[in-house]
Amino acid sequence: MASPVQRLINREDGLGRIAGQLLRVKRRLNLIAAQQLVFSTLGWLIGAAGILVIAAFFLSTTHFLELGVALAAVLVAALPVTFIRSLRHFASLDRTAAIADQRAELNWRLSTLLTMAQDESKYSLWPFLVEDTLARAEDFEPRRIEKRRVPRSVYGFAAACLIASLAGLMTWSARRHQQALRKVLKSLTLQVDPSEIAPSDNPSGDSAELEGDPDTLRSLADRLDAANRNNRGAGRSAFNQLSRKAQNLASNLQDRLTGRDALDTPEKVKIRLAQALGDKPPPDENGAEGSDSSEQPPHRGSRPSAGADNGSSSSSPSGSGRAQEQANNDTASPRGARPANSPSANGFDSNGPRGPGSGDAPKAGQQAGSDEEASGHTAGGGSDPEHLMGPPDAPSHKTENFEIMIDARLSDRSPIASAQPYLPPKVKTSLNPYQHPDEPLDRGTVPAADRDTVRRVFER
Amino acid sequence: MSAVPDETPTVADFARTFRRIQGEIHKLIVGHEQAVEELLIALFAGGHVLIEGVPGTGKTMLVKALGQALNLSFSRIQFTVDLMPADITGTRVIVSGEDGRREFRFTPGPVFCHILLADEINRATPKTQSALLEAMAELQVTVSGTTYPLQPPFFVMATLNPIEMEGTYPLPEAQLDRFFFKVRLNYPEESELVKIISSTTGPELHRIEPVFEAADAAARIEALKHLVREVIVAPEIEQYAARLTRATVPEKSKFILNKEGLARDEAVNRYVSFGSSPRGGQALMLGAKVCALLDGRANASYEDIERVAYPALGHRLTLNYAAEADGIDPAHLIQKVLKSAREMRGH
Repeated sequence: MASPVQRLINREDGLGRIAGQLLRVKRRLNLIAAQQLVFSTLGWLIGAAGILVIAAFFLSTTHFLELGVALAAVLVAALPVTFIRSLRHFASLDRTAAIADQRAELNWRLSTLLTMAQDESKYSLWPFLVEDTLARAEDFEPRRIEKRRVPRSVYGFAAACLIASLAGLMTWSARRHQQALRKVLKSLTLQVDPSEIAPSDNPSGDSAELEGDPDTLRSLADRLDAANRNNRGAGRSAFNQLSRKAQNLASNLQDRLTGRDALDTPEKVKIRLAQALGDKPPPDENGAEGSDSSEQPPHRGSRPSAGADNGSSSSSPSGSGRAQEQANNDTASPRGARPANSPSANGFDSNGPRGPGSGDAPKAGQQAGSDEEASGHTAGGGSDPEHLMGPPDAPSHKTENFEIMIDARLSDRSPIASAQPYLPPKVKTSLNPYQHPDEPLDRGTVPAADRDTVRRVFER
Repeated sequence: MSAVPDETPTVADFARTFRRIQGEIHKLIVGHEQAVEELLIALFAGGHVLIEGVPGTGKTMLVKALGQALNLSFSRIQFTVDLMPADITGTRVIVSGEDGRREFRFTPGPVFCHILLADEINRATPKTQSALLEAMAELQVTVSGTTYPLQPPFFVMATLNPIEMEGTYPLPEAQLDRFFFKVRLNYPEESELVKIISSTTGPELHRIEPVFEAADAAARIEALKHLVREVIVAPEIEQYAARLTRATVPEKSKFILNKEGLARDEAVNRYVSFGSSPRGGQALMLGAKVCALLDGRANASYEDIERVAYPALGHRLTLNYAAEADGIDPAHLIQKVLKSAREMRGH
């Protein structure tokens, strides 16, 4: 049983021809509507993805996360609207007739014909209406009713593709750069100011070593212990945990988008602590330190030396992995060096760092003394202004002979959301003999000679 | 009563005849194109027209010109305060029969004609004004219990003088509603005035050629009126006319039970006491049909409805004091109603 519309189209008379032409108009309109649906949906998705990738290169993790959330919200709002609006453009035959009437200025002729076709015999003017409409068949040709072959949303789609191409170009360029780095990066030694070391959230790996004088290591262990306690206290709330997870997720996504995660990690990362926390050590406290300080001018946590380094003294079981990752990140991009972990996880105790699972871990002092070169780098690193611009590094005797400059600085991209950048402690210094404490003076009596003057002044 | 001729006029005939009548009228009437067109639309739709205009704008001349162009019988009644209903409808008078006996015989009044000019209708008392009600609505006159049919086409054109309101009686709403259109004659523009002065003060007098022969004028006009009713109207257009009519009714009206589909226009709610009656909807639809034929179409459209909205609905709105205080006229409200109805139409 054919539908009324089909019966109308199957007719051989003028009305059948009109209905057939309307059907072609309808197909054209619906094709445009389908294209609009596809282009606008893809445009939103590709554009958002492109913006996200580009943002991964330029924004910090926090801003990247905020942008990601904003983009997700925009997509959630825009996609259903786009979908519904596109669906509305799909036309039935009746709606096609209305659209054709409007665009061809047919004054509702087509709609009247379609609507009243069942009762055509009732109207004496029906043949006139059919003939009159047929005479205007050219006015409602499909190409006249819908001039465009592609919808306007194709421009949005093209813009989105442009953004995506730019993002792809940036990713490709970054990966090429990282591949070049991968070839030359075997191992890495970082000179790090202990004040910049913070506990890691998810320690893993064991390819990093931490070395320094015993006092530095001990004070670092204490500081990290305290920081861990603070972090545990601060991270109890669900919101903080969620925020931390989101930050980690954003960080991983950012690394993946920029290709930093693909960078091969060095086999070993050696972290040399520049000085003890709190009090400044004497420059020649340790013989090894003193001897090396002249050879290798210390740079505050920013000067890794690449090449095979055999001077392993203490292997941190879990935090070292994070340290290594950070070192890699710092090599790939200029970020602050924060390779650290909780003391317990790192194998630190009050006596110094310990190896994982080894009950007889060597003492920190022994570690420092076992590697001359390392000790030399550590001694006075970043503490003596005279050495900041000291003599150039002696050329390495290893096969790999280059240096990588790392601009180490504090960054908000911390492994722990609540980790605060280092703030110098408030120091209360004693007053010199000419200074007086900032306390209110005792109330004194006005000398008799001045009383009149004082009264006059205050009365005025 | 004239019968509809066998030869049914076509759409093209209608448009051609209409334009020809228009042309003949404009031999005498300079300007007022819209007023003349609305007058003819009302004529072919079978309605009556109320013409409003200041003195000297050609109201009476317009009606006379129409009568001459159509070649139909024409009467004029000058309405005054002492005019009686019998002066319009006619009355029974005592006459002597052939056998010498005296008897009452009905003498038809001026209402028994095809085209009736009720000049300054608002100067007569409501009782006299109402004498026209039956004639206008039902094409018949009842005098002393006897009903006398009027000969179609019957077309009443009443003029209203908006100034000199002392001693006048505003038309009751019921009688206003019976007028199909209210046509306004505005002051002529300068160029039109030049033509008027030139054509009326020169030696050459313009003469109107009748479009129809006197013998078949009524029948031909009736055939054209019949054609108007044949125009095909889609249900959407009928619904639009109904919606437009209902949109003139304020929401607060106590005569509305179901407020669904009412156009939500604040101006209507604020300034209108009573909206249009269903006669307004009928006028919209019939006027739209005439417009469709004039445009050479056999179907009515939204544009046809909107084209006749002002003359069909304007005089059917009863405005309140707030409208008078704010200087709001019905045209302003119809414009608002059209806007809201278009939004509901969704095109």
